[in-house]
Amino acid sequence: MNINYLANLSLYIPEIMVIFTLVGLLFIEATYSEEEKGRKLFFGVMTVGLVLALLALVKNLGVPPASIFTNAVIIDPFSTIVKILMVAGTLFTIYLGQQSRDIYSNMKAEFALMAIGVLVGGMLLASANNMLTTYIGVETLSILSYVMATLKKNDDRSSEAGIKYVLYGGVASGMMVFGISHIFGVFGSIQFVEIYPLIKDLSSLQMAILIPSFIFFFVGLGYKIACVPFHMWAPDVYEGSPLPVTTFFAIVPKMAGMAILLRVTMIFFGPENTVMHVSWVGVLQVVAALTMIVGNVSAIAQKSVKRMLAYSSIGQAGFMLLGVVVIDDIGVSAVLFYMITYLFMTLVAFFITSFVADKYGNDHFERFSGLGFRYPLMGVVMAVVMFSLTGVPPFAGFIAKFNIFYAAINQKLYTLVLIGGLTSVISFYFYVKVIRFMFFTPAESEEKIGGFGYINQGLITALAVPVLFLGIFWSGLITKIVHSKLFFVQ
Amino acid sequence: MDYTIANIAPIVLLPFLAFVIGSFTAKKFPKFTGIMVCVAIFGSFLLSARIFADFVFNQYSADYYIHKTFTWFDLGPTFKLNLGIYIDQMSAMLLLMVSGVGFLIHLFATYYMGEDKRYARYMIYMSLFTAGMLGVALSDNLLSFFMFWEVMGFCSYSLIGFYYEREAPGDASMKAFMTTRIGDVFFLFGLLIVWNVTTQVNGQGSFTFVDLYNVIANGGFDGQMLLGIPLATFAGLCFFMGTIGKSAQFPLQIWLPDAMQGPTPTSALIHAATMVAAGVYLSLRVYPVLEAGHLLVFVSYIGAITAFGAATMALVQTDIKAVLAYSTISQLGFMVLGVGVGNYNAAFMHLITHAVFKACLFLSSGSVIHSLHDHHTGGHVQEMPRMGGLRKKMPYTAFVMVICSLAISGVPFFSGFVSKDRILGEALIMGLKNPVYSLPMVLGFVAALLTAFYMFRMIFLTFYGAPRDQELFDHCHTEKFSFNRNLPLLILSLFTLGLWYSGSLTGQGLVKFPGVENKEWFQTLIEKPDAHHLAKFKNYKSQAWGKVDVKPAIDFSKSHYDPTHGLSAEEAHHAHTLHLYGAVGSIFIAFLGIFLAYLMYIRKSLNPGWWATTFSGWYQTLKNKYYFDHFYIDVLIKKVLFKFQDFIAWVDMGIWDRIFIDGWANVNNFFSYWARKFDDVVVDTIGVDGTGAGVRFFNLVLRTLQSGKIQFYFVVIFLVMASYLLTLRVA
Amino acid sequence: MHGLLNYILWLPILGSLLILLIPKEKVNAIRWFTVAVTTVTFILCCILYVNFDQAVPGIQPFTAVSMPWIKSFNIYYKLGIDGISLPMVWINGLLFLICSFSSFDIKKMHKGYFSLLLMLQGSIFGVFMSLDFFLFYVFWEVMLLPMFFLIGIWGGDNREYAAIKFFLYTFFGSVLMLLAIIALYFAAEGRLGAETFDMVKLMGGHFADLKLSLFGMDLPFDKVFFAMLFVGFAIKVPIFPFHTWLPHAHVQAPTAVSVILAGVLLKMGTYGFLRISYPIFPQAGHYFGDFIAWLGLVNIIYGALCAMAQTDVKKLIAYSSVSHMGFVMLGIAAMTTEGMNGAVLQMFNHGLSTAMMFLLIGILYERSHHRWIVTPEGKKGFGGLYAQMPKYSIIFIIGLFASLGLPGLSGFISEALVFIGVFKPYPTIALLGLIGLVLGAAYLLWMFKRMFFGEIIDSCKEYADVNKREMFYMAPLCFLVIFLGIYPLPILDVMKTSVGKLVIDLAKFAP
Repeated sequence: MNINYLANLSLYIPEIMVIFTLVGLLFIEATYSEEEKGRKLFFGVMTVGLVLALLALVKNLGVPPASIFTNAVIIDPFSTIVKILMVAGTLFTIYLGQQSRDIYSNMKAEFALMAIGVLVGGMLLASANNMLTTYIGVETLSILSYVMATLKKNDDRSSEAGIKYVLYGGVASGMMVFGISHIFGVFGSIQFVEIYPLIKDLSSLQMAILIPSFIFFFVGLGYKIACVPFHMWAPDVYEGSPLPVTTFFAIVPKMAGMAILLRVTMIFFGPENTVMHVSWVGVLQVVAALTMIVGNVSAIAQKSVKRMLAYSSIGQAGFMLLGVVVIDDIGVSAVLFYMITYLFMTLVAFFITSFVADKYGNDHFERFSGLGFRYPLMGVVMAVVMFSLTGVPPFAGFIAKFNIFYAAINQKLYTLVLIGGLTSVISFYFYVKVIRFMFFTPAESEEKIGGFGYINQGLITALAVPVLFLGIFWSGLITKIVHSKLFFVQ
Repeated sequence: MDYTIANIAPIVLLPFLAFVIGSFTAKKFPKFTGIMVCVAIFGSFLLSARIFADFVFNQYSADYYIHKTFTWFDLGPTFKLNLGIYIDQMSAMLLLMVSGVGFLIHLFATYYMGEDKRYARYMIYMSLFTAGMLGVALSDNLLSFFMFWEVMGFCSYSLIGFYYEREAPGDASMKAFMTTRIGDVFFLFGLLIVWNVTTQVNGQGSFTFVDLYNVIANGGFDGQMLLGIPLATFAGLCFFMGTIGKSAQFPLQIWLPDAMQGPTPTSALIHAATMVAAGVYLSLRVYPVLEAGHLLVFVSYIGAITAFGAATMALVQTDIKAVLAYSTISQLGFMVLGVGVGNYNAAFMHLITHAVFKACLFLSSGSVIHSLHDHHTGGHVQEMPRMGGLRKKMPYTAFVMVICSLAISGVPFFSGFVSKDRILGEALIMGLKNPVYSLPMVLGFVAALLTAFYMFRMIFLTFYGAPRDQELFDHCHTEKFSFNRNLPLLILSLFTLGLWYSGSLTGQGLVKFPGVENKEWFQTLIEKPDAHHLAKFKNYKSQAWGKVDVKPAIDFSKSHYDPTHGLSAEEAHHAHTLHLYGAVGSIFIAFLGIFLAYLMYIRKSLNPGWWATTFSGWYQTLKNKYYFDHFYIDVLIKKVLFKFQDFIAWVDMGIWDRIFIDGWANVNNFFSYWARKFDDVVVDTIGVDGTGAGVRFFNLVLRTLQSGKIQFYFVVIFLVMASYLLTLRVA
Repeated sequence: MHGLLNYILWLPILGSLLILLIPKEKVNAIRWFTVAVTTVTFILCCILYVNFDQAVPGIQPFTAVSMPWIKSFNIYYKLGIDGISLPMVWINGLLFLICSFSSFDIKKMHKGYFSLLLMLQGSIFGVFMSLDFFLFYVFWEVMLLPMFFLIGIWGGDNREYAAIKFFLYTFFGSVLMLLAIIALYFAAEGRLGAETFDMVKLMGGHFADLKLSLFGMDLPFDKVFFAMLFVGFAIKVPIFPFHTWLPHAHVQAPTAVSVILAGVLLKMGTYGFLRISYPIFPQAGHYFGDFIAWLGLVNIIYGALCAMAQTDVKKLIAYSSVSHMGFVMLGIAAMTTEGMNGAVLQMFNHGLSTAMMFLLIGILYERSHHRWIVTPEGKKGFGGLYAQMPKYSIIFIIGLFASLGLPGLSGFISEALVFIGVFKPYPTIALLGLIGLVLGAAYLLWMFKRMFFGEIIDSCKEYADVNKREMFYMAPLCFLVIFLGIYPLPILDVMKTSVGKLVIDLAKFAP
């Protein structure tokens, strides 16, 4: 037993590292006095810890999938990749948070702490293998997020965002646990592994109970990935909370939620068990379509780039859902690829937006006027990302969408793909707005933008490189991903 | 005598190369360019003369022909496009006429345009034109025919618009090109039909005349319909539309008078002698199609109407060139009438004779205009009311002009009489045989009368009587003989004599000239390709181009003049008697016309003013060209076409683009607007904002709880569930 | 010789990157570098032409380039040309060489402009060369980016609108195309045994009797996707209901860009029909034949009427190319040897003549800074140019008559061939198409008359005649237009075998 546990621990090193980093950072933070600036040590340790965690994760990629802690947690390449993405995302957002003016200097440390806390929840969620872990993951993820949303204490919109998030999150997770309890009632188990065989043959009565309760369950996940109709909190929260926080929300919780949703779907609702499959896919199809449409359409009329990106991230979630609907390995790999590109695109977009916003105090489209001429590199990079988000070759965004469509058409989901394609055409309409202001309109002011120092520009460019690179040389990555399937060990 | 690239191609290539080289030298060496052009055309004249000699003097056989082809391009088995030359008696004569008249006109142009600042450019346009016309004459197929034909159209466009500093030439040139273009597109469609039919019959499409004739002989058109019309008729109409456009027949005659905006030699060459004749030449070439399509009556009507209408309009013109322009239209009408009544070679003969005397007339009018300077405006004077008595000042011009007027009016011993009278005679026969033709017959004779009248009206107004504008008269310097002004005129006038064309006075072998061998050579050699002559084209072979000449296999027997025209004895007799009456009648008519003119403008015993006032309604109608221009331009184009196109453009940008295309943006905006409203109003206002953000935390929570935010979310979620459960029940 | 296509394709793109290294003050260096690159590219195109073997019906073996790109998706980097694409490649090389000269007039941000120009050339080459459907799509889309910026940054007053409209329109079409591409990929597994993006393998009407369900309806596979591809290509051509982006884009774009737009870009649409739609879905092609033919007719007449109503020269020419591309569609729809050859030849000839017209208008615009035949106030925008700029007028006449199809100039032969081809299957359409010829002459000559004849109006008094540089880049076009009008073999010979093969392949599937 103990040996078994130790063996398990060896697979669980990354999470442990992240947790240790969190604890360590708490101590370090406590040693600082209130007005002390810089906190070099703090961020140093943070960086080292997360980087080590990354390395450990990368090492884990190789190992065969295993379910540990008595099937509470599963470690498989899929979850590992998602975790890598989340850790990387956290790392960069924390860096952004440290750079950004949007977070008061005395709050930067808290931001980092809570981000890592959320990250822990996310990692748990990504490799959750039973209902309980799932729920705990969601809660860990949420509770700290609520606080993060209100980081700008004395800004109304920020606190409003926090409230909204809390209330909605509360309701949603309440429903989720409600649903989970029913599922437990039917199967008498919370282990995915044990539920899976039972789900094949169900009496119609059980079905009548199960289907609604799975819907409840879905609500909980749905609001994490902010898919229609559980998306309403997202724009306000994204807009209200400070920009680095928005960035963080757009990345970590979304990915975690997407990961668990994908896992649950794959395990329970594969084509082999017909009725559940049909019903679940039915829901997901409707939700995916709605998410794509609403997300992209409502993004058009936005004035602030941040809010636009928030809506667009809803739309992007819709595309990922399209990959989930497919329910096969191609779909999984497509979603994974999408997440990877999504990470880089979102990071770059938010980085640039945040620096511009810091300069001018707001992030309306007009603030981007003439950026392409004042900071050609940044202009080009932003343009690249925008086109990539639209899904124009030769950028990674296109390949991501291509993979999703590929998977979907393989399952003959023509209608959904058509909707997806058309919505991506619509999406060009608001993405191009940024480009328009950057290149087609003269600059409002010529003074320097502080954020765009050499380091930051270098960093942003470095983040944008994959967007271009993966657009052309995606062969290696896709093959790697195709092999990293979802596993659930009986 | 052999026919190879070396001695055929230059006929077209010499003027063309003159154009190409000239277009580079024009700026630097205008004089040289002018001379070069003349030399080039003289060269092609010599080569044409050589061919003519071979055909008429050497072979003297109606069946003699040269047909050489080369492949322009082939697109695989089903499509092979051959171009080539086809010379028979008709094209041999046309070649000689075009190059000869063309050369003389060029020679005159060196005088007329000599001082013009764009002299060289003028000359090269002219030579390109001549190349085009010679190409038409040589073409063995309708496609290259069409291409050269269009090249001529382009030259005519550029030459009419030659004085581009003024607005009027611009309008005139565009009018000319567009009007002919309408005919041309139908011509093009005719080509398509021919290609299609030949493909059906021979399995290999072709445009050559020979193949066309063969197809008709084999009844390739029989029983074929297109859009409910017999195919032959359709094709015939299309080709004849080409004629109508190019030869300014009713109802497309409107462009030719305006074409006089160009320099006078242009009018002489293009709008009198050659290009407009090409239209008639086309309908002569496709005569079998017209016949197979039963279109001859229609053709004759068009011809007669044109001949008559134009003649009437010519009555009231005061501009010397305008008179000639209308007379040209009228004469073309005669030719078409000739085709219509089936007198094939008379029509062609009239084409040739008319080319000669009309060219001469235009050139002499040019020489008149050129020597009349209005020293107030500095411009040339074309108005006859300001002339008069000029014969003293310019005897040569007066002389040739009178000669040519005699010719055109159809006075015996002159070429015009020979050709026109035979057309009229045939019209008479047809008219008496078949009442349908009676109207063309009558119109024809009346037109002949009018012709004689207005021509001599012009002569008298210009050269006789007392000078009406003394000042102008005094400033006009007396004509001295110069080789490039008078020589062309004299040569041309020489060839207005009838005996060149016919061995007899009337062309029916009545009054014979002694010692003329093969009298009626013209009639003998030009053979109408009607139904029973078509058979001979079966064994016409085309040879490939080459340096060495391969003779056609058959040896051609010499032709002999058959006075009975293949009719039985009494039919022939009947015909001849009728022709005789016709001849007498037209002689009478000619003199009557001249006499009337004399009475009006010399004796002044008839006062033209009185006629003008008494029939002022008619007078106005004629002045306004029967209101055709008004109808076409002011009504059809300005009122209909412009309105329509503006409407279309408005629909395109105003409706389709703005509403249906850009509308999508509005639709999206609309939805996004409401999506946002939904968030703002429902979620925020009913939700958090409604309670005010300044409130403290718990307070805020409580208020929100009461304000129904949660319930709202419950509602949303339950709605989703409910709808979903419903779908389940259905499934 | 084997890598030739690679060089032609990547040289401009490499050049566009290298330009970025030149400091932006060195304007002349940038210009001449571009000229150098385009020149070399053009020479390579000529080498390609010289080595072309007319006897080979399909893809020229010596040009074939194939290497795996994405193995797991069977995506290949596969290039190759045949008789249909060679003329397009060649004219692309030529026009860009000419445009790089005419672009000396560009006023601002030379570096970006020329870089994008070369990028554009490269991507267009890609479209005409690629034989892998995925690769084709990538180039098809990449081409949008430089175009978007070229119109949007260097364009006229209303450039943003035009650029975005252009992009959205095309993007909409190409999304449908993407759907079709992927669907074909999977359908290929059932029909050809293996999933593939290889156009050549996909050709031959394997997908006739498949079904698919869209919005709950059960529809025939090939017709649906033929329609989707049709929309994608029709927008580019542009065919009647989808044409409204063209006037905006043309009017707003800088001269060189409109030249490329009209000269090459529009041909991508028709090329798509010839290379993709018809060979892959021949049955559907026959099924929609009449429909497309009628659309072509509508294009001809509708475009001509719109053109006649324009008071902006450039807009007029833009509509005229709508009208002329109608002939191409007509020829394609006829599916006869003459028609198809005529269509391809028309693609080439229209490229030459319309390029001439746009260049000439650009030259004029350099002097006048407006393009009104009749100004919005109703005054004459130009007048008496003939007397003012004689050389210019002569060139203008050549271009004008070439594009109204005067025999002896290049336009005529292609139009004649198209009509010969169309007459057999659609005599009515051929007859009505003649109206287009008349109108075509009408609006061009009317424009010419209003601008060039008559008194020189005051505003035109100081216009200079064409200068040496302009003469230098107009001359070759004039020469080609006349030469090909008299002797079209150089183009016809290279394409006839491939076109003939295409026609025969299509004829097999005639219902």
